[in-house]
Amino acid sequence: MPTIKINIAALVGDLCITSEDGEKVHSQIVHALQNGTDVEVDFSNVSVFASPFLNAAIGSLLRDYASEDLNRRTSFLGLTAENYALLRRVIANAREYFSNPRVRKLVDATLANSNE
Amino acid sequence: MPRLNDTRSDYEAMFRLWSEVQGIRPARVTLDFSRCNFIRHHGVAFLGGLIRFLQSNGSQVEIDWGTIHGAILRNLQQNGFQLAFGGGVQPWRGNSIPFREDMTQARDPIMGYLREHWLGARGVRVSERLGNAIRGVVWEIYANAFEHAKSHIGVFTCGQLYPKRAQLCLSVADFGTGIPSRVAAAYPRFALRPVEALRWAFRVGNTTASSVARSRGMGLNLLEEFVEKNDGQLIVYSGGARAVFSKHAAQFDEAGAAFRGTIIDIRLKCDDSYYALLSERAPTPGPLF
Repeated sequence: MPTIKINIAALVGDLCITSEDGEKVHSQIVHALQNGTDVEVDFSNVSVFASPFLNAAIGSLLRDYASEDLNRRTSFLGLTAENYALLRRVIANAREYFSNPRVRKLVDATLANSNE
Repeated sequence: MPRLNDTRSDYEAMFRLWSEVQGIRPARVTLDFSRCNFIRHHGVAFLGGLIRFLQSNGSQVEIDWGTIHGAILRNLQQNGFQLAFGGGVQPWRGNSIPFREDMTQARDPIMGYLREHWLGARGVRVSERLGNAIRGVVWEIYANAFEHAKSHIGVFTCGQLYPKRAQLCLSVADFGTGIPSRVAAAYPRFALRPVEALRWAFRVGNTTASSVARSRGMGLNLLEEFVEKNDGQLIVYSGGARAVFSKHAAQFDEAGAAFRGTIIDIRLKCDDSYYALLSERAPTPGPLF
């Protein structure tokens, strides 16, 4: 399958922090996946990451794609160790979020306990 | 103006001030500092918001600069507060980190401010890599303010460097909807007290945002974790509740019922040698999704 590389620094700059920029990246990734292309997301030359960006750009992919598909068709380059760790946490959080019934149940239980 | 230091009673005095101005009709308001003997950086940020709030309601605000004690005045000149509110003295670099106000989520200016003026303050020794990690974490405070609180008068920032303690502080104040109120609005059937709502908001994955089908709710948890791991401190006053995080404890209690917005004060060690976090992190193998 053909592969396209998305250069994040070229697309949104070296500050990957806002959800608006994350949405731009998300659109590019989804566009490529819909066209049957695998995606290499290149974070080289990105200096700062924050969760609003990663939630919008990457976490949201789990809304429309199965984990197996994303593991097979996407790859990530140029991440420092701490940014890789943050990305992993964002994805884990998103996975929980999009498996909605269980998360909702946990949230409800948390709130119920808080009221006791 | 009362003293604006960082004890609980100082914060309460600050919030009473906020409560007092809520009912003021457009008027000429003079701020008299003759009884104020100290203003910490969070007080500067708060004061900026207070003045903008009064102005947004049509009041004319005059600061009686002549009533301000010498050391406080020098601080307000150095950090640019006086310049922002009608004084003529150009700010200069020092231990007081500049006052700033933002109406919009100005990504590049805010990040530039954090790099040049906050982490770039004289005596701060952090590597570029650590500085970038810190800026990413601090951005979570701004994201909370801009993406959730919706403060109609903007977001206000001020900081301070304490060289002897090697401590770098930053306060960000917004005057929008506080975190507990947002939790209550998102989950009305639970009728949570503010302190419980704030505790809930700091749990990973919990969020008050519901407008977009997107995972969220990590920012506050990331902040908390960062200060705990790196011997910092995080103090949050929001909508009638307070949270204090440090390396050894997390404490939640009721405070500041009169203030509906949010003030977040982050205090970090400003020396690379304090941070073991970055080198300890190694990528975990295996699939990401």
